[in-house]
Order: sequence, then C-alpha cells, then structure tokens
Amino acid sequence: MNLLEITNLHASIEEDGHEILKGIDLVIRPGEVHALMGPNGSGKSTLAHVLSGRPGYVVTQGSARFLGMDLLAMPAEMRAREGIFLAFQYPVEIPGVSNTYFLRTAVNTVRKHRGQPELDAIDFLALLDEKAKLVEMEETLLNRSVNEGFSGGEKKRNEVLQMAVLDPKLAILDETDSGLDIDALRVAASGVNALRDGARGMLVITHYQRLLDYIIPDFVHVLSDGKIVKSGDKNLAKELEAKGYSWIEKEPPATASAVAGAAAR
Amino acid sequence: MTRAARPTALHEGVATLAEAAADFAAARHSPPWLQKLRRSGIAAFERLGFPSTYDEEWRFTNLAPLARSPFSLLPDDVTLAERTAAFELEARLGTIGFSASEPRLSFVNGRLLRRSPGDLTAGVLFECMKDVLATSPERVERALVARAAERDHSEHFFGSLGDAFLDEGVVLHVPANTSVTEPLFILHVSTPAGRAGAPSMVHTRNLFTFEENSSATVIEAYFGAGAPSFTNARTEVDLGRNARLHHIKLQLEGPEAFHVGHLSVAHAVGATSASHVFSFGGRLVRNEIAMDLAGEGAGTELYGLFCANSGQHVDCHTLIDHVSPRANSVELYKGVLDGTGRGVFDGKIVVRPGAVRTDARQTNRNLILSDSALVDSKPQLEIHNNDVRCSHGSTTGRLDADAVFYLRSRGLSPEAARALLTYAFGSELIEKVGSADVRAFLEGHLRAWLPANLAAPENR
Repeated sequence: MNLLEITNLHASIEEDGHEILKGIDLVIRPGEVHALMGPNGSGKSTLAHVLSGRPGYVVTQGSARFLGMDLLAMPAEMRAREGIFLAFQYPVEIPGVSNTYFLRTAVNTVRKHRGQPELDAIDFLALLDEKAKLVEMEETLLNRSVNEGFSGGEKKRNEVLQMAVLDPKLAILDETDSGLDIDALRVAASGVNALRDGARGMLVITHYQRLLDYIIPDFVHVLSDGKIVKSGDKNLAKELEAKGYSWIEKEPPATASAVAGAAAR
Repeated sequence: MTRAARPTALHEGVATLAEAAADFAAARHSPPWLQKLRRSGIAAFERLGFPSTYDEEWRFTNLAPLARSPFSLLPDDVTLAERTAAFELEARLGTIGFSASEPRLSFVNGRLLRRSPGDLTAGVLFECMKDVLATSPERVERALVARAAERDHSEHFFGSLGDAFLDEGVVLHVPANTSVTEPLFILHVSTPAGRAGAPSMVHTRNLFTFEENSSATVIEAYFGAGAPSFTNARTEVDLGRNARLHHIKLQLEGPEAFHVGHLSVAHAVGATSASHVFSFGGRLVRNEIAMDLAGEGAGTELYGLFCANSGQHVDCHTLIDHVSPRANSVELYKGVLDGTGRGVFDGKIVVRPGAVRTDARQTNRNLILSDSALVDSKPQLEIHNNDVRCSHGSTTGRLDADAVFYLRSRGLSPEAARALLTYAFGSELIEKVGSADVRAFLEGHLRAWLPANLAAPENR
C-alpha cells in the first residue's frame, strides 16, 4: 500500500483565502525518500503544514491518503500517532517543560495509541540515550526546557532526535538545513540517514541542493506556484542547482499524470 | 445594579459584624489595653465600613458578596465533627501532611486543634496567641498596640476587624543569631461547623519577631473541606538587622471560601524576606502583602501564583515601600484564569526620596484559558528620586498557539498540550520554593487543578 497518496490537492490560507497549493499530486511508497524543492513562496512549507494538520489552512479540493486513511479528516495529534512526523523549520521553544519529560509524554502517547505498553522512566532513558547518540545530542540539552536557548543547530538536531524516538512511518523534514552551518548539517543529515530503513518514507523539503548531498533522495520534485512542475531523480536537484529555479519557471508545467508517473517509477 | 445598592449591602454587613464583635469582646476577660484595642477596632471598622469599588484599592474587587453573607464566630470548644473533618483533610496533604518532627500549630475554624512542638530549635518560641494573651499578654502588647495605631492612619477595614476579634493566632519569636532549620508550619482548616447556624468566620493574627541575624521559614496553609467560610488572616512581622524570613502561603480553601489575608513585614538594616503565595481560588480571595524596606540594604522577593476558575475571584495586592538606600526588590506574580474566573494583580512599588540606589523589578504575567475569564493588572511605580533602577512589566495572554500545535504534532491531545503548557507556566513559581515537600505538594495540586490530567511528573 502507498504510504502517502496526494491527489489534486488545493489549499488556501484560512485568514485571507489566498490559494497556495494549486493541485499537488504525489505518491510516496514505503522506504522512499522524496525531495521537494522549489523557490521561496512556491508552497513547500504549506504542503508540510497541511499534511501535518496545522491550523490556518483550508483544503478546497483534492485528497491526501496516508496508508489508505483520509489524512485530511484526522486531527494533527491523530496523524502523529498514526506515524506522521513533521520536523519543524522553526522549532518552538517551550519554557518550563523539560525536553526529556516532553519526549517521554509524546512517546508514551504514541505507544498507547499503537497498543504498546508505556515505557517506564528507566526504559525510556535507555531509548533516549541510544537515539541521542545518533544526533550527538549532549545530555544537558535533554534536561533543559524544550528548545529554550538552543542554537539553530541544536534545535534541528532536537527535531531529528524526536523523530528517532517517535519512530514515524513518514517523516516530513521542513527545511531542516535552513540556518545550519556545514558541520551541523552533516550531523543532522547523518541522523536522518540512520533512520532510513527501507520501510520509513521521507519527504525532504529544501530550498538548496546542498542537503541532498547528504540525504540522497530517490526522487526529486520541483514545486512552483503551488504545483509540482517537474519530477526526476537526484540528478534533477543538481541540474536545478546549476541552472537556477528560473529554468523551471520558464518551462510549461508538467501534467498531473506525468508527475504521478515519475513518482511511481 | 444602581449606585446605591452596593453601599447598602456593605453597610448591613458591618452592623452584623459590629454586634458579633461586641458580644465577643464582652465575653472575654482581658487586660484593659486589649479591651481598648478591640473596642477601637470595632469603632474603626464601623466607621470605615466595607470598602466599596469606588475605593481605588478595591476598584476591581466587589465585597458585596462577602458583606451579604452571614458568618458567625464559633464557640471556643472544637466539636468532634470539626476535629474528624480536620484530621481527615490533613491526612490527604501528602508531603505536607503531619510529621512528628516538624513544629506545627494546627487550627480548625480558627481554634487550636493540635500543638506539635516537633524538633524546635532551642530558644525559639512558637506559641498560640490565645495562650500568650492568657499567660503573658505583656509580651505582645507593645507590638499589637503599635500596629493598631498604624492602622488608624492607614484606614484599613480588615485590619481593624482583626483587632476587634483579636484572640487567636501564632506568636513566633526567633532569638538573635539563630537559624531555624525545620520549617514552622501553621495550618488552618475550615470545615463545616457540625452545628446549626451560619458558616464560620475566623479572624487570626500572627505576630513574628526575628532578632538580628536570625532566620526561619514559615509556612501558612489555609485549607478547606468544601464548606463556605470567611477567613481574615493577618501576619505582622518585624525583622531585626540582617534577619531573614522565608514565608510561604498556601491558600486552598475551596470554591466557597472568602479569604482576606494580609502579610506585612518591617525590615531593619540588611534584613531580607522572600514571600511565596500560592492561591488556588475561592469565592472571593484577597492576598495583601506590604513590604516595608525601612532598613538600608534590605531586600525582598515576592512570588505569587494565583489561579481562579468559574465563580472565583482572586485579588493579589502588593506594596513594596523602598524607604532607605540600597534596598532591592524582585517581584514575579503569575495568574491563571479559567472559566469565568477573575483575577486581579495590583502591585505598587514606592521609592521614597531617600531611597537612592534602589533596585526594583516587578513582573506580572497572566494566562487566560477561556473566553470568559478576566484579569485586571495594575502595576504601579512611584519613584521620588533619580538614582534608581526600576522596571516593571505586565502581560496577559492566551496559550501560544504555535506551542500547542508543536505538542499536538508530537501526538499530544489538545487538552494534554494545553495542560502541559499551563503547568509549565505555573511551575516556574513552584520551582522557586526552597522546601522540596512543599514543591512536591504544589506540583500535584497544580496538576490536579489543570483541565486535563498529565502523565506522571517524575522526569520533569
């Protein structure tokens, strides 16, 4: 079964009715890593928000199915419990809530939903310790308030750590590379790569090709003005980097069926 | 409501109280100075009447519900029903429940329930006001008369009411160069009286004297077993040179309670105090704090967390008076209002002309959890010299929608996300409390107060 199946998805900003997504078609199967690239304002982050259930958007047309379920009918927390994870572009600081407590609450909420026994403090700390090594996260950051006073790199590593601990079926990484220097990028990317296991799907959203040197995608899609205008393999990202987004914007948009064909290849 | 309606209700309440006070005074055999003090208390509160909302200090708190409610002073003997209810309640207090090692004076509906000396540091006197008034009233005469004289000038209705009913409370004396290690615990429990008549009213008076270089932690806790009650509690403290007071007040009397509390602390040179107030609502609650930084280099820290749900009103009133040079004050009050709950923060900092090099920082932050909750925040700085560093800030808002979504995107329900964020907002004040037992109790209580249950807290 397809992990994610997006068909002719249209979405607008709730407040002003401005349409951002203008007919997205995308299929992600288990184990596949898809990169979604595009210029600023093309709708990359909006797609991530709509898929994760962030309030403030209205879907006006189309559908999104996750493991056959009607994703758009599910509240955000149900999507998370069923296995969708969004790594935020701008992780939120939560003063007064320790990172460890937050993660354990989240893990046990998800485990409960999946019918698994909740982890006690000792088992959870063992799991956390193991996953923290993946992203080279210092223990002091685990005991601090969630993201409070974290550097840009620490926040992004914290997102990857949460992803590792929550073990999602589909991870959406929203500009995980933004604001990172090359070392921080390498650490975050190696954490992500360690979570590629042939079953987990990933949608890696990025403005720059740079991240895709570290997380090698199976498919690359280019988003422009709310539509996927071109799909291909990892070489498409390199071509984009060389020619710039203006190259894509000049081309006539691909048809929905051509895109779906590329994605299903 | 017409303009005349409120003063009428306020006026009738005063007449009833004056009658009760006169009966009470007539029944007590007391030294002449005490009789006089009670009489002048009656005269003063009768003359003043309940403050109305036209009084700037009471602008946001309408006392008519209190003035309209009948309350009676209970006879001296504690009934079996009161005793049983009080012990049952105390047994549910967990980490702040009864422990044999801790000095504790427990009162039920204002009368002594149990005296537990615990491991009291040598030389420290921790006694019932009633005992002191009966056996050696001269020990408290000067302090009580002096405070009453000050009140004549400040026109304080509830202070005068307290004088009129002066009878019971706690007298604490910490000798010079003495550090009291065990927290001193004063527990008040209000329970159904178990006899016919109006619900109980309690006027309690604590008098603390700290000689120089002494220190102690005092916990004042007010609990209720769900019955309507009226508590008028005053604590008056004199801190000698370099003395240090930690004061923790827990106000958890339940939704039917009326509570007016007042803490005033006079600081000598170098004396410091920290006040922690945790107020979990009631029909009408007023917590007043007056910090008199009379001594040079004195300091005070004021922390408060007040929570009110539907039908509840919690008013926190603080005054920090910087009189002398080089005194510091830090204040952080947070309010959490849910349902139709109402909160008030009125914090005034006065810096007198002579109080140069004053450092005063005041913050009030309020969290509104519902569309019908309301908080009035009135921070005030009155600065009368130029050589000061003062800041104040007040914010009132809702939970951060981005934070709620962040937690939901990790699987937490909206209710759990809101509860966790609200808990985090309030827990900042719990973490400032020195006593681990009190912290543990408050963590549990705050969690129980929240709209949805949270997971076990042990890894926070």
